[in-house]
Amino acid sequence: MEINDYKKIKTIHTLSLQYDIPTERISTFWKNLEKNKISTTQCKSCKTKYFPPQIDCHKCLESNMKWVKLDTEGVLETYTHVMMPPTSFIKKIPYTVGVGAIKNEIKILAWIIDVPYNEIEVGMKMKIIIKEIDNRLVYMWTKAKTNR
Amino acid sequence: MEKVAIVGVGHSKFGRRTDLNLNELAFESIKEALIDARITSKDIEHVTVGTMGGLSEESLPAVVINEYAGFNSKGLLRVEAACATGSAAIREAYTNIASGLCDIAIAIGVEKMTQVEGSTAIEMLGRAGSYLWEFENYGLTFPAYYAMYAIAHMKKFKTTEEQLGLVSVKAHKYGAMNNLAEFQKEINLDKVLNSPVVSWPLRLYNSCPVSDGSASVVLASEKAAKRLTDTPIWIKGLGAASDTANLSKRQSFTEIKSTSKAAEMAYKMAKISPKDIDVANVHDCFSISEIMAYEDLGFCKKGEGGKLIENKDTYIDGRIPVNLDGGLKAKGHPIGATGTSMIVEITKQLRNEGNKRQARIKNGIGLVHNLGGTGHTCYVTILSQ
Repeated sequence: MEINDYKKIKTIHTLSLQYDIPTERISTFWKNLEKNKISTTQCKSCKTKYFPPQIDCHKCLESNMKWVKLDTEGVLETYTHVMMPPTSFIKKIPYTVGVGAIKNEIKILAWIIDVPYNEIEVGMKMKIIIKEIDNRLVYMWTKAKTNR
Repeated sequence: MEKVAIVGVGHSKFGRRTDLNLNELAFESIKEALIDARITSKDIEHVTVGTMGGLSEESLPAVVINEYAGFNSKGLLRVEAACATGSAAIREAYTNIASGLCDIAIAIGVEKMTQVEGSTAIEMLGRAGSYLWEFENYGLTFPAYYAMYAIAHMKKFKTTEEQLGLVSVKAHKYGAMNNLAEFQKEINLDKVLNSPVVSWPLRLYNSCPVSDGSASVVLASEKAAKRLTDTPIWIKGLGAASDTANLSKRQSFTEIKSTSKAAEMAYKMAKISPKDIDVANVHDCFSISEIMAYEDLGFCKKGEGGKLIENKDTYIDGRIPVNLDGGLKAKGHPIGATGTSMIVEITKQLRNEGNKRQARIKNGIGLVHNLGGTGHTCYVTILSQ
């Protein structure tokens, strides 16, 4: 018989947490991704744009948004290459996350894909593309084609 | 508003403490703080427990700790401000006394992080931002957020990997002199630069560990402090500020605005400026955050944080000693306990109880800088003799 020193007790009831995130009020965002469009919300009253899209305007306290198409061209402000991932992303490493600024107005955080490591640098011109990953549409950054 | 003093402090050994449970760990510092204040649990009138929770088996950590330590029957609250939780607990306990609601309160910072698999802890911390827009599709990790600050800082101010590494070298130098620190071995720059990359450019040795630990602080009104101690340390200034959850909504990636805002509030309340500070503890969850803190707190000009560490200006005999207890990097970072741990360290420094790690105290003023998340919140607390 194994001797138990009782230095610890492993809990036998495990808890698994998976959430249904309500996205009904901004479902248009993903419907637009299906049409290969990246869009966001703009307040009809005060013209403030929000990204990520939201249905409420905190500036004028109204919930009266219109959906506007976003420009897909941006400039890279910062990035990192993730080498040690969270458990659920272990199969995806290494990946590069970056924040790009569109017309100095909206910034978008997303993966940077299809760009060799040594070509990624702050200030580089990028564009948004929409890809399907694990049955889901996701927006990503990639290098913009430049005319040289 | 009443004046508030720190009259008792306690600090557990930080590190992998699988030898004790949440209550026992909290008690390690609670007992020390009560004895230091020369009181018992009966004298405490209000209890604030600072803990992020979620990584130990207890859903209501404050409740079980309150019972274990014999405080049950007093007002009790759990506060959370991510990694600034400890400072938030101090602020909460402070306001109970400053408002005149009670005379003696305790702020207990505690975290148990090693009861789950390491990868689980990392996954949980990676969700510290906007879940749907940062974690769900892009797998952000906590180091990744700060790595993005580092990249921007290196591009704009030419901060180098070597300067980042020197922050860790200092941390370990003082950790080696602190018997309560998780890591008590000195390291050299090569060790940092050769360690594996966690999220470029941050390496293992640029990153604070996942730790267990607790630190407790007994606070009292002026009236109570006078009868309890000859060496009250006064809370002279407090500042608190916040910033956006989404990193993409930040105005700048080379500064943490919540730090400069909180610091401005604290300096104004204490009627001091950065040059008056004798010793400080700043939030070094990653090497870059210490460098940015030097700048955002006004210890040096923007962009010169790297030079400050290079010139050893923040060593014990430098012009502004920082993190003489090993910082988060070497001392450890049990999330809820870090803020109270910093308060304990600065209190000891101002009481001249620093021993081998004692800074030269000229003005009798110390500063604690504690960040939550990626700068989602910041608390700055100024203590004085």
